[in-house]
Amino acid sequence: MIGHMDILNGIVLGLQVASDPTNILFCLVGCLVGTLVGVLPGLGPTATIAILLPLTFGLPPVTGLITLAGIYYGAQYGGSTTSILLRLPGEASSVVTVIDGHAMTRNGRGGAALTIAALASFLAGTIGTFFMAAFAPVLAVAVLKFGAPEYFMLMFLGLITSVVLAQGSVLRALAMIMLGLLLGLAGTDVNSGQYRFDFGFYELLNGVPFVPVVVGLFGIADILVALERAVKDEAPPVVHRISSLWPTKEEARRATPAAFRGTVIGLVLGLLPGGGALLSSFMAYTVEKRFSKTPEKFGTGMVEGVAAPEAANNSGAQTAFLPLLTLGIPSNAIMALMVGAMMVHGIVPGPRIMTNQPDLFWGLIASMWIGNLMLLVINLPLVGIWVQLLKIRYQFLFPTILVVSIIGIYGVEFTTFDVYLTAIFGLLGYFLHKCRCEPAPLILAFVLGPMMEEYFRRSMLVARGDMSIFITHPISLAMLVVTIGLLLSLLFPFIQSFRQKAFAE
Amino acid sequence: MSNASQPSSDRTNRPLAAFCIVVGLGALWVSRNYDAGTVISMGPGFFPKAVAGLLIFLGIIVFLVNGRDVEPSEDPEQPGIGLLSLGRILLFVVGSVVLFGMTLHPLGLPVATFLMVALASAARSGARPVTVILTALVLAVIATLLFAFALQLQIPVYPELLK
Repeated sequence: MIGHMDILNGIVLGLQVASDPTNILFCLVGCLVGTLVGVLPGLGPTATIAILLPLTFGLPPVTGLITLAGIYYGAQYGGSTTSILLRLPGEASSVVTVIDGHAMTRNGRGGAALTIAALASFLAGTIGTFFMAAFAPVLAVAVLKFGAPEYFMLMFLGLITSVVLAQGSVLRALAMIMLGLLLGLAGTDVNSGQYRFDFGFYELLNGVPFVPVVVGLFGIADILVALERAVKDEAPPVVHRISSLWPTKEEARRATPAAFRGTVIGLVLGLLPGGGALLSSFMAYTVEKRFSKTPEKFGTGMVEGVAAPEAANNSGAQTAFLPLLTLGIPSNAIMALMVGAMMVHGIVPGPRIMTNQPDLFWGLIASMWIGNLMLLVINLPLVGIWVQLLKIRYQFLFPTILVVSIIGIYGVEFTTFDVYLTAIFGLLGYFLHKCRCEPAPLILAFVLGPMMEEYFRRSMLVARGDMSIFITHPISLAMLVVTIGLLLSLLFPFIQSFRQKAFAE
Repeated sequence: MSNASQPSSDRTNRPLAAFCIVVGLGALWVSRNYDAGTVISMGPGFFPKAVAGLLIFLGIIVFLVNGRDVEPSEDPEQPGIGLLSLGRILLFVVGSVVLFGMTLHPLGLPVATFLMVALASAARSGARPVTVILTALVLAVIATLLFAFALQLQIPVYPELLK
């Protein structure tokens, strides 16, 4: 078993790796660029990471992943800023922050709301980092006992959770999963060497390349949708003046316990496959409202309604890394992007990372904390500059996004084939958006598909074709029960209204 | 489903259903020669066929549910932007990416970037030619400096003819 000393040593090692000047520099660059792109209208964390992903491939693996983690937190931070000041949530996870955060802005307390959001995120990030450092080793030892059926069931559970928690239609999310699985199957079958869905392109023999798929579905499709909207209405966002950044004593007194409660909720819910930031922030807001003495005041600018969800989505975002680093299984679309990035760097995510590449594992964890600290120190004073960015006209913005992402894609494999693929997936993403389908389940299934097939085939081999192997293994059975419970829960009106309320915005 | 009895204003279910069914059938056809194997020792064809079958099945369900699975869209009555403007956006933006792919090797990074940005910027119907050309010029220079010189990517910079 892993003792306390190992964890302590790990943290020390992590801080050493993370405080290497190059890594600090790139963590800073990641945070800044992430915030910069995250603040821009319409670009959430997923799209931001997708666009900037290729740029990190030239870096050494540890530095590249630290940069990506910085981009991730920066983008999430930028999303809260636009939610609070402009009522423009970059992603679903900051939707609830809009409710009271923007109300505070209308009350002239926008600056205080930003500070509270930043401090609450930092608090959650700090606690989340220590939580990860303490639990990851334990979990990594536990999962070494996982066999093929357990892995398969876990991924199945993750996919179903992502469907249940997806925005909009469950049916369409299921269709997206099938599409993603199918896409993931292309390439050479590892067991038989059979080429599948290669259409005669040797570029597809290693599978459909990851980066063109995500940049097409998120980046290019976003541009198409935004351009179509811009033709309809060209009203620029109205920026309220920012008041003093400092919260009053009363605001601080009410926000502190809310931030702690939000952190705990995020820690737990972030661990769930398919969970992460979105579920955490919504649950934290609901809890605050339920336990408040003045629930009717929520929506009019309550600090608790900013502090709790912001803390929760940050700690949730952090613990979402745990299943990835210990099991090698991404729990949501952003983590799927991280898997893609790791694979490009030649790192196989999973329990062996911690023993084989301790510098990567602990460096990443420590850099999360450093990244959170940087965001706090750099961004609060700079908030005026970030808001100015919103005035950049889209006619200059979208060609820039296009240039950075397309040249970046070419730079991954140095083949124009990937550039053409991006164009195709851009069109596909636009079509799916028009059909009101979310691309997130597709990406998750695309990454999980090959692994699921492999583990399913292995399970069947072990069990000699007996499907009951999924029931006779206790851990697998437990996960199956949870999965079925989740599917059944869709039939209950309570959950239905919960989902509708959650995505009402 | 609360609005099961009301007629749905959703018009997206048919194209989506058609897409799922066509892709599913296509995948089945392509994988027709992949060996499905036995349950104990599955071949490379088992998973593709199963997933393609499920995709077709879901496509049929999407068609049958007929849009009752989504909230009615916020502005069903509001007219779109017109097929012409939409076609222009799709053609110019997607076309600009393809153009970049075709011109990168023969013409080099700066020219290819210039062409991509110029074509993409022209997707907005109100775009002024001077602005478009200036944007393209600036971005071409920045991209070359950033990617070819600062990041040292192995990208062709000069046109092939000049070599």
